[in-house]
Amino acid sequence: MRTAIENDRAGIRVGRAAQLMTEHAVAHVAVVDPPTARPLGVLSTLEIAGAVSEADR
Amino acid sequence: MKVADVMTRRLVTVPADATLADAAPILVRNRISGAPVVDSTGSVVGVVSEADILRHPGGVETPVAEAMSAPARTIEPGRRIAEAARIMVEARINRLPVVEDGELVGIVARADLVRALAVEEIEAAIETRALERERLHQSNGDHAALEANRLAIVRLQQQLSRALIAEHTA
Repeated sequence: MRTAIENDRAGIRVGRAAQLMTEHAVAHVAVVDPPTARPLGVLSTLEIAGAVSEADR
Repeated sequence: MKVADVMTRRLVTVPADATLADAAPILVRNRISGAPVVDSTGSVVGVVSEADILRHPGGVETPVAEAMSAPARTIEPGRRIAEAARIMVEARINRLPVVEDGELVGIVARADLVRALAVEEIEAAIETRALERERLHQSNGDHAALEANRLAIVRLQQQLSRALIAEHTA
């Protein structure tokens, strides 16, 4: 398992999340609420693929 | 952007007559989570993933052909990456063999789409920064700096794109 937690802030651009995933070679990032750091969800490569497919419509 | 721009050209395949015990080390050795399964003519007949191996109720001597996803969804290298993304999302799959004239020429995975989006993001950030500097040089009337800035940005974008894409497609 990975011990480091890669996290992403809610409201951040999907492209920036993709950049984080690439830089850290991970397939998921946790999305947290900026003021509280409360976890809101997990963004995976599946959602990124969804964004790429939507971008072309 | 086309599938050919982001796909991995280094091909790792699993023979159709292999067993799960044969396939697992191929994935582990190459640090990949799935691979196209090819017959004796090199045609793609399916895709086998770590999940297929782990989920299959049979033993390790089970033929790959019984555990793989088949028929394989494939895509041509000249298609747009958005189309590859749509197929992966709809079929909830992680990778697509890239086939041209019946021949396997690469594989495109969700990680490749993430990388493509990351490159776009970085390029957009560079462009924004370049525009800011351009406005500054324009307001100062510094034409030499303006031109140097433009050239530096173009070179940086080219280097970045080449490095990020070539790293994975070599």
